[in-house]
Amino acid sequence: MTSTPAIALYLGESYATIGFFDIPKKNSRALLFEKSIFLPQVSLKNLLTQVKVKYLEYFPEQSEANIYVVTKYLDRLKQFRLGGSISQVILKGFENSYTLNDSKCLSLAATQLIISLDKNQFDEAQLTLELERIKKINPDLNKVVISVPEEHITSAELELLHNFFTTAGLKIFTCTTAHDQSQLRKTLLNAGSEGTKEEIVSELKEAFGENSTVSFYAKNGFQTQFENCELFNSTNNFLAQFIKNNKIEHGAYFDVESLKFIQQQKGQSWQSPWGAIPIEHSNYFDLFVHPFSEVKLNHLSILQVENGPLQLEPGPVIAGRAIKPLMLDLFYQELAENELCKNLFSQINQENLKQKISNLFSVLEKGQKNPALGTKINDLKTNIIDSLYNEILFYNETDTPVVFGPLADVFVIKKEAKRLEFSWPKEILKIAESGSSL
Amino acid sequence: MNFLNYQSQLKILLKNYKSCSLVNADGALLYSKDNSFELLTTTRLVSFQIVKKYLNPKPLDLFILNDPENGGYQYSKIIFISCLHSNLFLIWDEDYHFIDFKIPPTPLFDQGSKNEFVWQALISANIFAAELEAFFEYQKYNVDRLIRLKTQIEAVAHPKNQLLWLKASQEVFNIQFSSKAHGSAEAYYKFSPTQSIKLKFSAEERQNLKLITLDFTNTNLATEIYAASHIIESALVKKISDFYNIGDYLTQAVLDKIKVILPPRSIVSKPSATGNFNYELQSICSQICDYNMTQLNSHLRKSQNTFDYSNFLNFEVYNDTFYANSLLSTGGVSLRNFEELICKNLIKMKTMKKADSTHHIVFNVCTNANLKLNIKNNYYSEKLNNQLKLNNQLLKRGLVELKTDDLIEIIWD
Repeated sequence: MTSTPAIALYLGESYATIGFFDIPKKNSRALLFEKSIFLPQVSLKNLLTQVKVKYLEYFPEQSEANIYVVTKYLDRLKQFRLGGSISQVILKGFENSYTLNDSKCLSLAATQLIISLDKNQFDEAQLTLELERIKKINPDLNKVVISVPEEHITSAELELLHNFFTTAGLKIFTCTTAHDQSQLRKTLLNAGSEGTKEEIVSELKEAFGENSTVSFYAKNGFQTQFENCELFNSTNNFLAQFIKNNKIEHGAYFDVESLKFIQQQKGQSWQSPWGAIPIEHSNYFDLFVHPFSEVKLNHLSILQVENGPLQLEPGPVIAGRAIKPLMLDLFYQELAENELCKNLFSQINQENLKQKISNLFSVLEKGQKNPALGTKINDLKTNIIDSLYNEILFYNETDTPVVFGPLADVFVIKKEAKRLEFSWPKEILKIAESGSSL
Repeated sequence: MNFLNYQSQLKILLKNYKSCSLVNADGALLYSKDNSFELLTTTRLVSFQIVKKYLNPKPLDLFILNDPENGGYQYSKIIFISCLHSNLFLIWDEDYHFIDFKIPPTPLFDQGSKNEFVWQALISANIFAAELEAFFEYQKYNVDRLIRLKTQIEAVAHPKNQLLWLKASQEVFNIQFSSKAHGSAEAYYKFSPTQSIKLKFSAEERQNLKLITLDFTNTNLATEIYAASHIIESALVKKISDFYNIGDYLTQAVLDKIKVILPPRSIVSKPSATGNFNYELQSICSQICDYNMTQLNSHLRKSQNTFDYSNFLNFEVYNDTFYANSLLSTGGVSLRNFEELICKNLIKMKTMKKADSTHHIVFNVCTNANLKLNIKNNYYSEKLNNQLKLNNQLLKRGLVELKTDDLIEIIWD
């Protein structure tokens, strides 16, 4: 067992929870400090600065830490086209080939930044010209994906490409099976998410020391080396490991940014917003409603919760700044008693905020034009609670579902459900120490 | 239970189905969704009526059919009819491309037990017996998961709750009907010198009776391509549901407000033996219907004087063990499973690119691939540059067997 302090971070899309442990003392795993923040209001950097102050009180001499990260942060990328700072070196005639599987998917590379090569007919001068061209389009370009089938390039030419782009200061990502479009998508996604991962790593190292080890929960447990695209399933894989450790096949997880049903079973291909990516991942199902979905009158003037989530900023009304009520706001009374929410949303117990939420729902309730299609706010809440439970039963193979997560008690009130204790920092440390992976 | 609870129950129960319909014992539609290329709402209703009439379904029964001349869509599209409850039936469809023979309405499970005779004849004798068995077992497993949720099924099957739901959907239709223009518009599409489809759309309210009429009078008799009336109706119902933004509320209460007039034995009312033209005719009729509704509701009347068909290319590439269905249209390109063809070394790509809005795909057939190419629709137009060539010869609708080193070139704008 290492004597280096251990830090556990859950970095979600909208919130983060961090804790550090008293590892140096033998046989002790006391959680010395824990803090949660709502990311649209407090940045990760700011959180780490605050934590560092406490950390130094406990470990004044330490210049390094073992940092374990489970993340859903990269889900923020899921609504965007990627590849704005990535060039793609590809054989002429195969420009944008990876998009043909389904052109409705988001793109992973900018067409203008493609360097297409003629078979065996390129040299450094040509590459220089091409690099000048694309640098004019995006001077901040800093990554390149090389995807040329082996049979069309000699090892000397490949070396030339690598040397050229290394000298030019571009980080290289190589797709070794260039004919396989799903592998090309995977390589492009690795390149497209590199910046976000690096940003997280650098902020952690800046706070806890350059010599700190940052391990992310990836495909095979906590790792320092992995493919970036594995981080898109970091949380789901971690939660699947958690249910495995508890000797159950599946369970429903609830927190402020996701309600989902997790299975131990694995899938081999991930249907990402950018197309199918060949990567092993734990199966999961998003439950029918998202905590960040807006509660509104639809085009029929029916009070309902929208299908998809709103953007994270400004968040729910309970966070203090928003004026559009979200599904979470329906449960503001219950959330006011919830530990995580009290940490995330400091104003949640303020009377004026409660009044504001109550008014917003009252306006919606009264705005329904057709009495035959009218719904009361309380009925909507009951409907959500009942439907979530029904959906869990649907996925569950027994009548006793297992539920866990910071908001499990808010959304599952049936006594039949079996509840598991869950704390992000403690579970992260437990799994990191056991070195286990599914 | 209010209509909102009922809607949530339906959505959760049917979440895993891409295309399905739920009906009660009278055959009244309670819910329908169509998320595949092909549209089957009324086809599924016809399938249910056939099974109900001839096979008297009981709880836990599961039936299948695929006969395009008898309530089906095409051989590879298997329609399942399951009795979830004495007053609740689920009908759904799934693709299984290695079934290339006709299946009349057949009981696969009798009150939960495998029908051994059918199983033996239909599955065990098939060269893909193991895959076929797994496919049917999986469908049964999925429907058993629903049946296990007794409380929810009881609630959805209860006549009082159904009535409440149908009333709510009627209310929704009334609101949406009133929000759109009333009147009529018509258009026609001529796809050969002697074959044309004419469709008049009208939305009218008389003596408080709201009615949408789709009239195909003057559409030619079937000679070249044709489809069964339920195939055309499915496409129209979906188009109307989308245009009027009815969503989950597409029920019998809405269907009762849609009247479709189809001349007998015409292009739009004659079943084809294999269903080969179904998707193409659904696309044509959908677009004419959409054009009519848009014209009627346009602020700039006569904004687009003539109907302009937006064509597509639908082709399949397959052999005994592999199947890829591809679609290229103005809305996008979907070469489903095409990447697998490359990875399995059945084809070798020469070009595969998208530049501006043009897609250019060139490939060679590899040795021993034994591939067949079937172009499923009449995609070719002299006005456009779109083409599919085999060894530099333009190919039109139909099936060709591919040989080693054959060169296929596709250009789609």
